[in-house]
Amino acid sequence: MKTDSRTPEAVAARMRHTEPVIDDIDFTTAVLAQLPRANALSDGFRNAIVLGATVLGSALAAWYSVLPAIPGLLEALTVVATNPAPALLAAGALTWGAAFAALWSVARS
Amino acid sequence: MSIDDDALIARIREHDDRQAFAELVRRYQSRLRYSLRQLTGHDAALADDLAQETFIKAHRHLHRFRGDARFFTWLYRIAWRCFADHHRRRKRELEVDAAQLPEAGHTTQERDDLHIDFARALLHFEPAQRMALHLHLHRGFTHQEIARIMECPLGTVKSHIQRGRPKLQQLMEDWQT
Repeated sequence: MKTDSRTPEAVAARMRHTEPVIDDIDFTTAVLAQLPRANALSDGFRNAIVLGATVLGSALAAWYSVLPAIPGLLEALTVVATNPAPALLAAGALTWGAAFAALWSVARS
Repeated sequence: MSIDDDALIARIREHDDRQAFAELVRRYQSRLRYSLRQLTGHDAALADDLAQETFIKAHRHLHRFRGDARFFTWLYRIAWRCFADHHRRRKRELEVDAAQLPEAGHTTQERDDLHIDFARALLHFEPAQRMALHLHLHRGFTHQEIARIMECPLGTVKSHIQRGRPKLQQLMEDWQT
């Protein structure tokens, strides 16, 4: 086996011992800047917000359905009073949709 | 106390912890950038671009890291793909006319010159052979590990190294003339 200091193994060994440490400077910062945005909200928290908003919206809809004091809602509330389940379902869906849209727009921005 | 790679990777996976990922980048950036400089004829700007691309892809695909190899080994697999893809895209620009290669070694005195000369000598080899020689000589990976990193048969790796070694030896002997 060659023991010449110019064998590839010998040169590589010298290079391993003298391998320079390359300063990070802004390298890590540049890598992090190119990563996609982190999710600000975890999936569990996001679901909790949507569920909470849906429950709250449904409760408000139910509350106003028994207090037809808002002008213009009388006709709508009549429908609610006669068909409470579908009306509450629609109110819930609308609220859920609004909450989902709000979260989506926050995530995109 | 430094946190081991597995713990950092778990934090990234579970909480998308950017500080944990930054720690991994800081931990390996020097070695990876050095390796890519060796593969690109010591083109620091290109090597850094490829290193950035490697880390970004590593972050994107971290969920695929199964932990059956060291993180560093897995990182090299991504780096190899980035380097090979880049070479395929830019083959014409990167093709080096042997006659135009620098006269490596004639003035090698300083420590850094040896690293630069060696990187330039590696330009005489095709990318796959260059990678195999670098991983074997500089990083001390086994043939089996190199085959896994480069996703090629073990025999191909052995052939790259066995055939590359005498040529590299010849190039280095020429440094002294």
